Amino acid sequence: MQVIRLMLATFLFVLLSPAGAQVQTVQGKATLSYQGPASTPADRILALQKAQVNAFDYYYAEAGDSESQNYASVKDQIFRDIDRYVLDTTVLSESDDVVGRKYTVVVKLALNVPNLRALMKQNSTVGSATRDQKSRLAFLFVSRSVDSVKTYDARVYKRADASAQVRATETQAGAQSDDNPGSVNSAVAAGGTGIASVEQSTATSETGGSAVRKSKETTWRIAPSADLNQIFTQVFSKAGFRVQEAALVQSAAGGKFKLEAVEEDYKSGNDLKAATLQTIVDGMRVASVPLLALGTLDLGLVDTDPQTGLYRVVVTVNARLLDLNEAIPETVASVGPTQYSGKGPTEDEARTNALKSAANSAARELASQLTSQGIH
Amino acid sequence: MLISMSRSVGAIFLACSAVAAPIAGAQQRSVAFAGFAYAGEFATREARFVNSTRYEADLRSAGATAYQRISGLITANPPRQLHLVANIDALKGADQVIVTALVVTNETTSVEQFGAFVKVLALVRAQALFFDFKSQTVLRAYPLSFAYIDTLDHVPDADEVYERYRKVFEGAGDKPGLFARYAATLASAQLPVQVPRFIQVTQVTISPEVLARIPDSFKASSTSAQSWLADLISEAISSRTGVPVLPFAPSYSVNNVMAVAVSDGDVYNLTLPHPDYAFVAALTRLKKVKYGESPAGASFIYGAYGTVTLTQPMSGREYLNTGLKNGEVKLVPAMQTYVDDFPAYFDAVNAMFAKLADAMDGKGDAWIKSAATAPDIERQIAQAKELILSCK
Repeated sequence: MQVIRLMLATFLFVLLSPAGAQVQTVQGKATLSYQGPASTPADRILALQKAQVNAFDYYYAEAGDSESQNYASVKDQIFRDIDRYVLDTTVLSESDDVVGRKYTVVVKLALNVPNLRALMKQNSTVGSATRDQKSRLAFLFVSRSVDSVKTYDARVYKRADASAQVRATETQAGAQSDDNPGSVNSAVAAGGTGIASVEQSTATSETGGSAVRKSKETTWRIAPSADLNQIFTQVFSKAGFRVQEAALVQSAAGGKFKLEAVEEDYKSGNDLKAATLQTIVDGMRVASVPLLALGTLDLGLVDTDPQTGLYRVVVTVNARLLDLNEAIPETVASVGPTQYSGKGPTEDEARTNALKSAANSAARELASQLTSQGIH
Repeated sequence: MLISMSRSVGAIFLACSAVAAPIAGAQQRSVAFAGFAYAGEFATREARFVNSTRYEADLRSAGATAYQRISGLITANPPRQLHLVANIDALKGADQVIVTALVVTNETTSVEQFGAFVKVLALVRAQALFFDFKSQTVLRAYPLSFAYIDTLDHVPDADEVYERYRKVFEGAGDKPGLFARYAATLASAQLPVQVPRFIQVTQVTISPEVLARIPDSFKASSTSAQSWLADLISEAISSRTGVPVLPFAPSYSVNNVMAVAVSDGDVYNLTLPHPDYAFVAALTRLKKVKYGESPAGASFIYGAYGTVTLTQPMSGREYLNTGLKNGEVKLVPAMQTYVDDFPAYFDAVNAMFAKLADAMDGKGDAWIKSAATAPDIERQIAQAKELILSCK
């Protein structure tokens, strides 16, 4: 074993499957420097293992901060039982540079994503907590589309100032008595005396003004949220939380808040009014729900996907998760604004696909951030 | 290609099909047959595939859809490594739902007048595509194509051109058509149990000198000629070695997503995987040299020159990096007043990549030793052969 150091590594990239697929492939590369005339089998095994680690590192680095933190906490467990999490390892290329004494290997791994997710969940605080120890989580998400947009013409103010100035000066040449000043513009008289005068005039004009533009006013139409509820419930439940829909919490909140007020706020703006938010917080506390996820999914206009000719809709997600245990509620996780698109043969299908994709991704990210912070 | 005076005289078929070599021990996998499909935007398929969609409509009005026609051919020549099911629903609940379709990717019509003659080309390029229905990811692709070249003494109308396309799909003489070729591909295709390795022609370049000798019909858009060459190379590799080759991404995908519209109206947006191995080629020169002459006529050598590299993109390791040349002889009778060079150049280019693929598949390296410029070509071919074997 003449391994002295593991050298650099890694250009890696995730291949194949889209998000949510059960098997994903990822490539990893490692270069190992060795002593001795050629690499030994042990060197090659070490390089292969390092390439596998690099592939995992890259996969989770691509998945975002919170996923990466969760991965860091279970990394050792993964590599203690790697066959459980890697379905297949394929060596794509290997080369042994005997002059430079470097052995390089590139591998492609097929990751068992369900097993990896299960491991993350087991090791999260919420995963190891008993049902009684788990906090209840309510979510309040609104999907909405633009109902009307009022735009204003620019208010234009224009001003023009003009001024004129005339100045005359006289000079005297030769002898001339003071009581005979002569006339303006007279020529010098024969004999060498006379008066010369110069008249100067200046005209100045200034124009200017200002234009005031007022930003557009947008009102929103609230869309049905049954699909969203289903997705949020599914994702948070799988992550180990006790999930409750806000509509059901409302009745246990002693009339502290009304969902209609929330929808009303979101019809005209991007944020809840302070008073509305406070009523929700009060209501959740009455109902003993310490975690509240809330946000909006804004549907854009429908256009045509240039590649497929299908309808396409873009959804913009803004979401945050409040911890209500503190006297002043604390935002412990947030997502967005992030955009997702959905396509379909009809406008409705495109909308539904976009909302599903956005809700799924937002819920996953929020749940992952909670897990990485040990909140349960 | 000989041209003589008659209403419809010479008919030449340039066709290849992928022959996927079966591997002993490969287990039978269930695959759903989706049918006949078109690449790209569903709404514009009739404008882009004028004759293919017309042929499909004719079949439908005659009471037998393209799906039924292909199914009949598959029944006559059933897959040996796959268990084919009639629809996707039959695989509901399975861990992986694999779907196959015959996807037409390109239709090229060329009508060129040479003196008293008119040359008609009807070319359809397609893919025998396998994809994962759940993840919407391409798993395998075997390129197919069929070119029907005819010479006439008049400019053909739309119906006459269409008749050539009918032969492209149904076959002509002893040449099986595109449907039968797809069925033959399925008959020998197999899906790997382990994670597959993907080869893709990732980049092709054509020098201005070569581009000037290619008919305008192959240059309809800025990337048409590149697409034609990439498909030709993909098909040569796939048909000669039995290795699937991913479709040429710049032509058939946007951000690596390939849209496929099946004739029953289903639309799939398939993700093309990143290639594990990248094939890059350049066509640098075409040359015509008189080889011999007699009272009966003259013979010419049509030469093609190019370069190829085969690399693993992440490691940068090169398996192949060489210049190549290939010459094909064409006899021209003394009585022939006009010689169309392009079919002979096409043969030279096609044979160059077919012979390279043969060498990579271990079918002899006599040609490659004289055709390649790399001094270590034998070592390179040995490496490439190993790689090809691992991709099957």
